[in-house]
Parts: sequence; C-alpha cells; structure tokens
Amino acid sequence: MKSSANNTNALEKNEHALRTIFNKYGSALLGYIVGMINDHAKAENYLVEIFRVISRFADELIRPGVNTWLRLQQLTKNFLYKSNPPALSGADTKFVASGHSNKFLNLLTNDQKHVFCNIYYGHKSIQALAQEMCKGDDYIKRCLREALSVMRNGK
Amino acid sequence: MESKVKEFIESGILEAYFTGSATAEEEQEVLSMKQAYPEVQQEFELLEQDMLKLADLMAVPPPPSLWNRIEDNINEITVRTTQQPQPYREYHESHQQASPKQPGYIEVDAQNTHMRVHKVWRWVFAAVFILGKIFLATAIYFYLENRQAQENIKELKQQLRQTQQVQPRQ
Repeated sequence: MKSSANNTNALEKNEHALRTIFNKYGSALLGYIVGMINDHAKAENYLVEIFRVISRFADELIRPGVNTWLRLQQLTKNFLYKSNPPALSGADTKFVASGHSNKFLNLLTNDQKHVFCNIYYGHKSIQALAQEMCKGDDYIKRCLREALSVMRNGK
Repeated sequence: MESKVKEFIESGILEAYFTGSATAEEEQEVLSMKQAYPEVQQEFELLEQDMLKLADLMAVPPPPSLWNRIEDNINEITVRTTQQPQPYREYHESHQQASPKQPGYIEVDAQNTHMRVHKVWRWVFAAVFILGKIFLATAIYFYLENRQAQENIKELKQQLRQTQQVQPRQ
C-alpha cells in the first residue's frame, strides 16, 4: 500500500516536471530535432517519443545544478542516433543550412559550419571530425568556439 | 596562472562541453577548472545561458495538440505499469478461451464434434471395460453351467421314467 502511494507520488511529480520541461524547452527541442532531420512531421513524432522516454526521470532533469538543456540535447541526440543512425552519422551541412537555422549558419565559414553542424546536430566526436578533416583536435575545438561566438554575437 | 585560464577558455573545451562532444576526462577538467577559477565559472555560466538563447532563436513552436499527444502516449504506459500483479491461478483451457471476451460465460463451439474430458476418466473407462469383460465371462460360465444342469435333469427324468415303467411289470 505504501509503495503504491509512493509510486503515485513519483508519477505526479514526474508529470509536473514533464510539463515544466515541455513549456520551457519544448519549442527549442523541436527546433533542434527539425535542424537534425529537416522534417517537421517526423520531428514532432520524435519529440513525442523523447518525452515518453524522459517521463520516467523528468524530475531528475530539473533538479538544481543540472544543466537541463544540455541533458535534453544529449538525450535527443542519442535517441535519434539509435532510432535512425544514418540521419546523424554525418550531418549534411547543406540540408541543415537550408533549414530554419540558415540565417545563423550563413554567418559561418565553411569549416566552422561543417564543425558546428556535425557536432551540434550530428553524432560525431571531435576526434572523428579531426580525422575526417585531416586536422588536429585543437583546430576543431577552436572552430567550434569561433562558430558559437559568431552565432552568439550575430556577427 | 592568468594565461593558463585564458588558454583554457580559448581552447574551445567549454564549447565542446556544452555541445556534448567533450570526452569524460575533458568534462572532469571543465568541472574542476570551474570550481577552481572564478573566470572559468563566469565564462561557463555565460556560455550556458547563450547556448539556451541560441536554441531559443532556432526554436520551432510545437502545435497546441502536441502536448495532448505526449500526455496520451505517457498515459498508455502509466496504465500498463500501474497494474498490480495477479496471484497465480491455474485455469482450464475452456476458461482461458472464454475469459478475454465474457468472463462469466463459457464459449461453446457448436461446430465441434469432439469433447475433452479429464485424464482421470481414462482409468474409470479401463475399470469399466475390465469389469464388463469379467461380467461377460461370468455370464457365459453360468449359462453353460445352467445348460449342463438342464441336460442332467432331463437325463435324470428319463431314467426315473424308465425305472417307473420297469417296476409295475415286476
């Protein structure tokens, strides 16, 4: 009896946390998924599935000290990679840039754009990207920093 | 020391951390540097806010019905998981077939000409068969005994008549 009351309590807590996450990060998360797969209808389906996954531990995601957005981003990336690996194995800079985020991506150089898309939207590690581009890890990190700096400042 | 912090910030490791592309060691390094140096802490917080702002700038508002879809999807799971486990009970096949449709009724298949019985009836049928054989054998035995007795009586009667016929002559 006590355990079922605890279960109900935990469910209610998680439901509330889930609603908070949806209100605060739902649109950012949908934009992130659309940027990844460039398909609005599919992105909505994925978002529903992702919320189903995080409904079990939504409460943990909004605890103080937890970077909720970073955790959501990583969960989304892993979920999409498991569901549809080819879509993220090599994020296509062209299709990402042709999407809704093109106004930011157009501010970047080709290398910055390639690094940003493959790391932010794709599932590539810095080491894998460095190998692919025949550059060092430091160059990739610098490119990523510059790309984010340009996008943050809008120039 | 200041140049070390500057070098650390400019290396892009913080950006790698916030895009989820840093290795486990790099993540630990970022967290320990953040604890140790206020400049790193400041840059960390600034970047955290900016990453969220950037995500908001590239956001796509979900349609109003999407939350209902999410809720429906989760409720489906909640209903399944909150079911209490039932104690184990052995059912006969007929009950198992009937229960999904109408728990109070037994489904009868009018087309089927076969019937199923409990295994214990096998021994009952064997006993009835053997008893039947014994009964038949006994009946045959007493029938033959009876016939034999009838013939003996007939013979005795004949002998008796013959002796009666002989006696008056004497």
